[in-house]
Amino acid sequence: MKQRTSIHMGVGTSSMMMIFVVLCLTTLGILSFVSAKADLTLTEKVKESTTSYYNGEYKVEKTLSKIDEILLYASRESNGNQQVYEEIARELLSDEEDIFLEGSLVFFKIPISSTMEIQVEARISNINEINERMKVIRNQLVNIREWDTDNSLELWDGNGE
Amino acid sequence: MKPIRRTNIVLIELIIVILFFSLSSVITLQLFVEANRQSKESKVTTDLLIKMENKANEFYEDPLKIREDFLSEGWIKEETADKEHRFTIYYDKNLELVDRKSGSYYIIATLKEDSQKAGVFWEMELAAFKREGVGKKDITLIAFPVGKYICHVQEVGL
Repeated sequence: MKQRTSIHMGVGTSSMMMIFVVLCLTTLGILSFVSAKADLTLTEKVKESTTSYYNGEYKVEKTLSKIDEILLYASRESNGNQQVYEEIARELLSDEEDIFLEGSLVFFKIPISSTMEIQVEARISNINEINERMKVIRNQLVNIREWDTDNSLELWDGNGE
Repeated sequence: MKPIRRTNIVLIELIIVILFFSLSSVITLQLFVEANRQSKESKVTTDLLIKMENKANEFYEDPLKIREDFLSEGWIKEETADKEHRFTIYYDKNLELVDRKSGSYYIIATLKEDSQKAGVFWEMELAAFKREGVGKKDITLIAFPVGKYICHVQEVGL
């Protein structure tokens, strides 16, 4: 004669199982959500910085075209005289905001965020140099955030104890 | 009073457990769905950004050659005003190249030429959009301009 077997489930077993499964599900869900959220935040930051970088570079090229226009005008007005050319160029460039002159070097900076800026330096050619009126010698992305030194730790200065 | 049988208690507990489990499953499922949506969104944005950056770098290299590159890479030329060239490329949800009708995302590149006395200022506006369906306005995902100034060779004697 066959014996009937039955599984007896005690009171509370299903509750315990449910608590375990729900805890697992919740942990996994929160972990994946936090990870996806962090990814999205990072992507947004990358997008913002890339966009502001290209906007900055666009302004750099615009400023360079403006400087070149001034130099062309100065070269036409000076009739081949280097000294006159320099004087006219200097006068016109000093009228422009945010463009600084030092000898034959032109310097300007374009801020792209609260901590970064693009610094550009160009050398103005002599009037008899036919290839180009100016040459960009530096186009650099610079971090302008002030360095906050941490002096809280007492470090050995190399002398004595 | 009739005593409550043990099997009845287990049955009631099981019903409560199933109800509570389904409720928490629904909440957790929503969490997974949202995580999946955000993950897809960041993937698409990153991929589109890389594609646009590549185009911007190609433009910096040679703003004159880029028009040929657009046509050879499957971009569609649109009719625009004089001195302006517009190219569009369409992608599906997996960012595979598709035709205009079935595109979920698209990038528009508008090329402009500004001739000045001293040189030419080449400009390219890049913008990536997400299609929102009929009757809805498309969402701008990324947009930035790219500029390149090329000066004319100085005239001899000046």
